[in-house]
Parts: sequence; C-alpha cells; structure tokens
Amino acid sequence: MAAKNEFGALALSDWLIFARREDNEKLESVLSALFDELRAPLFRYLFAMLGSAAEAEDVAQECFLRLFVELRNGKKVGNPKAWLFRVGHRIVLDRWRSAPAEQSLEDSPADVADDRQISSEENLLQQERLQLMRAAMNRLSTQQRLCLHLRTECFRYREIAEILGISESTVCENIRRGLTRLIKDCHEL
Amino acid sequence: MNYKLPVEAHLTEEVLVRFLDGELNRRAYQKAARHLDSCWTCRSRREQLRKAMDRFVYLEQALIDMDVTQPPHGWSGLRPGLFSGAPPQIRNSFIAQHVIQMLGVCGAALAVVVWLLPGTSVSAMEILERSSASERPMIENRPNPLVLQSLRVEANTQSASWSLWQAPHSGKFRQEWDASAENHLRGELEQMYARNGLDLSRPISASNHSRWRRSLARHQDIVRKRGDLIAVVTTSQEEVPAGQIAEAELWVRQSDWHPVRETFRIAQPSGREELRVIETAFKVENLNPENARIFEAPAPVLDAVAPEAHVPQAAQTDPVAAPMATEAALDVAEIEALALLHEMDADRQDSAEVELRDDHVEVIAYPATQDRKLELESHLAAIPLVKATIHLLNETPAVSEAPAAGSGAGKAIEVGNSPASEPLFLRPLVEQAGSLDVANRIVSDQMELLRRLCIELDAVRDLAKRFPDAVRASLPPQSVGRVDALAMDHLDAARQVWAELERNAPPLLMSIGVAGAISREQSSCGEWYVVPAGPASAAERLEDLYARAFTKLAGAAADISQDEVVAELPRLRAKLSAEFADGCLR
Repeated sequence: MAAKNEFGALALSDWLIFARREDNEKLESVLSALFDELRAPLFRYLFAMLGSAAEAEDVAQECFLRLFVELRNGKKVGNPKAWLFRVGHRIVLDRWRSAPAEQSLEDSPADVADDRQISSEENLLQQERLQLMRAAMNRLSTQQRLCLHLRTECFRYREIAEILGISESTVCENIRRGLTRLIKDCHEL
Repeated sequence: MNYKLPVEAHLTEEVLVRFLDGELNRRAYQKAARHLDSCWTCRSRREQLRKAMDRFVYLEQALIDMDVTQPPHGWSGLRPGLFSGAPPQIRNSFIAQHVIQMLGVCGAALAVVVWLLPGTSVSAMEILERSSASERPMIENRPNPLVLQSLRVEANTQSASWSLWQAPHSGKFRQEWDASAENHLRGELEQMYARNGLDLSRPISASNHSRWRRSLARHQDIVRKRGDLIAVVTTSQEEVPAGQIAEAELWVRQSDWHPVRETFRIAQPSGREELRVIETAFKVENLNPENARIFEAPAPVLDAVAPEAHVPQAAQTDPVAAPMATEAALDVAEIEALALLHEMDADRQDSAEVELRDDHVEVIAYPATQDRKLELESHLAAIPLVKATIHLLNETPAVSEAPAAGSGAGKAIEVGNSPASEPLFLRPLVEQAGSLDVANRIVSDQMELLRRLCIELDAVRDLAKRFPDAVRASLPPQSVGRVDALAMDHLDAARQVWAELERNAPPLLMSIGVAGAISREQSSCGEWYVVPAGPASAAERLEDLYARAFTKLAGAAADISQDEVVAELPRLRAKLSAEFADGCLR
C-alpha cells in the first residue's frame, strides 16, 4: 500500500523511521509538526461530537498525550491523523458511556439551546439565520454529522469506518442520508 | 437532431454520492460518468448532492466559528509538557467538574425520558424472546454450521480480545484469548460466568441473560434505545452477595435482534465492578474439512510451534477471517474470486473488481438489478476469505435495449445548431456516413467496443501486475492454471474486439484524415507492466480520444484540438496493432 502524506510536508516514511528509532529529538520535532498540523482539525471534530469547546480541548490534548506515549513505547502508528481521530472518538464514547445521561450517538451535540446572550444591536436576521442553521444541523443524526464532518477532513470512507467503528457501507449510507436531509432543508436557508 | 447513446435506468443515490466522493472503482466510475453525460435527471441529482456537500461545509464551519468564540486556551501548556517527559496534568474536564454532580438528577430524568420514548414500546421479555429466536435460523438453516465470534472484554483499566469457534451440531468448541500475562480478565470473566450460572460458550446471548434474570427473586427491567440498538437493563431488586451480578445490560440490534454487547455490574464489598463484553465480529459458515482444522490446532500457549497442518496464527486470532488468512490462502481466494466473476461475466457487466485486504479479499461490484446483486452475493459467499461489497448501480432494472434515436428526450445528447457545440469530427463523419443516424450508430458501436477493449486489457494488466513470477512460484499449480486461463481468455477477447474495431474504423479514420496502413516498426509489444506505454493505457487513451473526437462525453471538445487527435491517433493504433500481432501475445 502506498504511503500517503497525511500531514503537510512531513513524509510518512520519515515519520515511521523516527518512530522506530525512538530518537527523541526527532520524535519531538515530528510530534511538534503533527501537533501544529492536526490539532485544529482534531479539535473541530471533537467539538462537533461534544458541542463544548472545553471538553473538546480536553480530549484533543489527551489524544496527543496518548500518541506521544504510544510512540515513546516504540509502537508503530501508520496513519497518525486517523489514529488521533479514532482515539478521540473512543475517548468521547467512553465518556458518554460512563455518563450515559449526557450524550448518545443518537443525540445531536447541538441539541442544547443556544443560551449565549445576543445583544439587541445584533441583527435580527443574523439570529434567525443562526437558528435555522442550527436547526438544519440538528436534524442530522450525530453519526451522519460525524461522517460528513470526517469527509470535510479529507478522510476516505474506509478511514471513517475505522474511526467510527462502523462498516464502510454504513459510512456511505450516513453520508447519503445526511446529504438528503440537507437537500430537504436547503430551502430554509 | 439527437445523438444516440445507450439508455440505462437512473443511478442510485449511493452511487451518486460515491461518484462525487471518488469512492467508486474506475470501471464503475466510468460507467456512472457515461450515464451522467447522457442523463439530465441524474446530473441534476448529482448537482443537488454537490450543493448539499457545499452547504454542509459552510454550515459546519459557520457553527464552529460562532460557538468557539475563543481559541482553545490549554494548548500552550501542552507542548512543553509533552516533551518534558512528565506530561502535564490534563485540566479537569467539564464532566468531572460539573456533570458528575448532576449525574444523579440527569440519570433519573433520562430513565424517565427513555422509558417514555415511543420507540421503546417493545417489552424486555419480547426483546429477549426475539433475540433468542433470531439465533435459531442461523444455525438450523445450515447442515453443519460453524459459528465464529470475536469479542472484546473490558473492565475498568483492562481489555482483552476473546475469540470463539463453535460447531454446535458436532459439539466442538474452541476459544483463544489475546491478553498480556498480567491481564486477569479471562479469570475474572470465567469466575463470574460460573458463579452466576452463565454459559461461557454463548458469552453474549439472550438465553444467558434470561437464565440469570429468572434466577433473581425480584428484578426490574428497563428498555433503552440508541439508534438501531435496543437494550434490556435488568437490575436485581434485592441485595446480592459479592461476586454476583447486580445488574446486566444486554444490547441487541433491532434490525435482526442479534445481541452485540453485554455489560455486567457485579456486586463487590467496595461497590459495583463493571465488566463489558462487546462483539467485534460474528459469522456463521458451513463446517468443512478446511475450517474444521481450527478445532485440531493446539492452543499457542501449550505449543508455540504449530505443525504445518494446523491453522495458521492469523486465523487463530480472528475467527471471522477463518479458516486461514495466510498470504498464499489470500492469493488463492483472490484467484477464485476473479475466476468466478469472470465466469459470471461480472467483470464486464457489473464493474466488479477484486481488492486484497490484510486478512480477506474484498469484491466490489455494481450490478444493475437486485436479482443480480443477490446472485453475486450468493456465489461469492461460497469462497472462503472473500467478502462481497455489492452496491446497486441503478434504481430500477436497466433497459435492455436502447430506444431509437430521437426518442427519450433528455436521455440523448443533442447536437446543437452551432458547430462550436458539436463534437470535433461529427460533421465530417456525417458526410462520410451519409446521414446522422448512420454516424450515430457507427460511433455508438465503436465506443462500446473501445469500452470492452479497455476492460479486457485492464484485466490482463492487473493480472500481470498482481501475479508476477515471484508470486506465481508460491501458488498451487491449479491456481497458476486458473490465472493463466483467465489472462488468455481476456487476451483472446481483447484481440477479437480489436479486430472488430479495426474493421469498423475506416469511416471514422477517414473523417479525421488519418486512414491508412499502420506503421508497425515504431512499436514494441508485450509491455504489460508499463504505464503509460502499455497496451491497456494505450486503449484507455484511444477511448478518450474517440470520445473527444466524436462525442460530447466528459467535456469532449473543450480541451483538445483537431491537430492533437490527428497526431496521436496513428501512434495509439500502431501500439495496439503491435500488441495484437501474431507472435506478440504471451
């Protein structure tokens, strides 16, 4: 299988060599590059799952820490981007499992009411548009939204399936249903 | 004036989504692209999906931008901590700080809400009965079934993989655990099952859950639903001694009532301990001499060097990939799949392709009808290690014959009055052919022949690349024979198609102005591995040139000049003629 460059200018082959050598200095520079490259997309994904910036940040940090520990222990990580997303996804699931009242895959993270104060000076149309946008996204199931979100992060169906622990066909079905739902809701926006 | 193209039923939405996402194999993509070029309806649906994708990207970004008013503030402390050897303490999470305090209240509220959900009107008893009943047909419908199951067992800080093979009719059973030496999950689980009278050979099952449930003096059931999953949560209403199950949560798939996960909460002096058993794979197949060998293999712990006849290690850790997933076994499975698809003509009519994965062979195909889909699935199911992923290409059965030119407006490509909107060489061809109808037919036939040529040559190229001499040397003679027969079959078909193409080519070539004898000195032959110089690549380019010269497919005329077509066409013909010349094929 051809190696893919998943993180900017850094070649995957270099990454693996560094990881195997346990060369701390190089490992740090690689991890640093990974950190800069992937923290934003990982955070966005976790935020889409959790609906809370603070929680998403917690989990994202934990993912990077786990990756570092994994590499320090000489483990091989073929696709760090997919690895981070997969681990992040599982951490969130574990949190939901341990606090099931909080969330489930069928609840949408954006279901919570928007309680931010919007000043009276703000345009009413803006508020209305915001509500419509939230409503459109809330009509997607969490799994549909996550599949669509992961596509925006350039993951292939196979990678999405691995991250979410579902089959490739289910990924496609979620994307199809999500898009169909958005088509129906498009007239509102 | 209309330009005739074969008419097919509309593409399924799944195929349209995969088309946009680049998730179709090359042949299916080309097939879909051809259909899209001729079908306004599908093109419009594709555009709607594309717009929905744009809409999602915009909405997702907008919502994140609105909700995340400030950048994450803990990053700055993470980087130094990562490299200091002592990772920084992760800031206490929102859950830890706030939610746990509210958990009692939320939990109670959730229980009420879940209980009242309309989708969970099915009773616990009914779920358990249906789940038990669902297991029977899978076993009874096979003369001698082999049940393969992979599980993950989790406790607070530990997890382990657990694999089971069972042949219920012959009473054979085997299990493997994959866990580190200090991992005590196996012992804990076995003790727990024994103490509570559960059957260890059916780790996640409604019958086990029911047996334990019946043993309770007083209990309460709650039904929970999450997507397609539905759970029966049974809680003992009386104190249970240490080591006994106080609560068990069985999750089943509502679509087929198959149990997929069970969580046991076990009473301990210090509180409840949780043990989760999660199914990661499940398969029932017929027991045959090959896969029955799994019951002969000794456990790796007792015998580190497995005798040759025993099932390889790969199969021991993944029962669903049983009976064996060695490289050689995968090669044989791949060849069998290729041969079967060829026999069923699926490589030609269903865009079927075979891909080698780590532990199995995947067949991806796009049949036009549901019947054909079932036919492919049922045949492929008989080949060990092969997993079929069959997508329906069309929404309705394909129309077997194209309607006459001019019928079915919207499904034919129209040739406009402006010469600029016409295919490059259409008017010269009409002059050569005498009428547009005849020209249409000639082009249609040639394009179909070129498509077939590409499929045949592509298949030969794939076989040559996939099974070079080094791989062939490791294959059984029977499999080598299958590969050779397959390749020769494709080559024969390709040669016949090429001969027909050349027979019908003169009017087309004359309209382009490149008619004449082919110069064979310029080209070598037998370059099956060479890309882009190989014959398969030449055929693909020729198809592309013809499409651009005579049709409006794929934006045909927009990015190619007449001079380019005139210059390139003779070279490609020379190349392909050299390949099909006597003494070259091998």
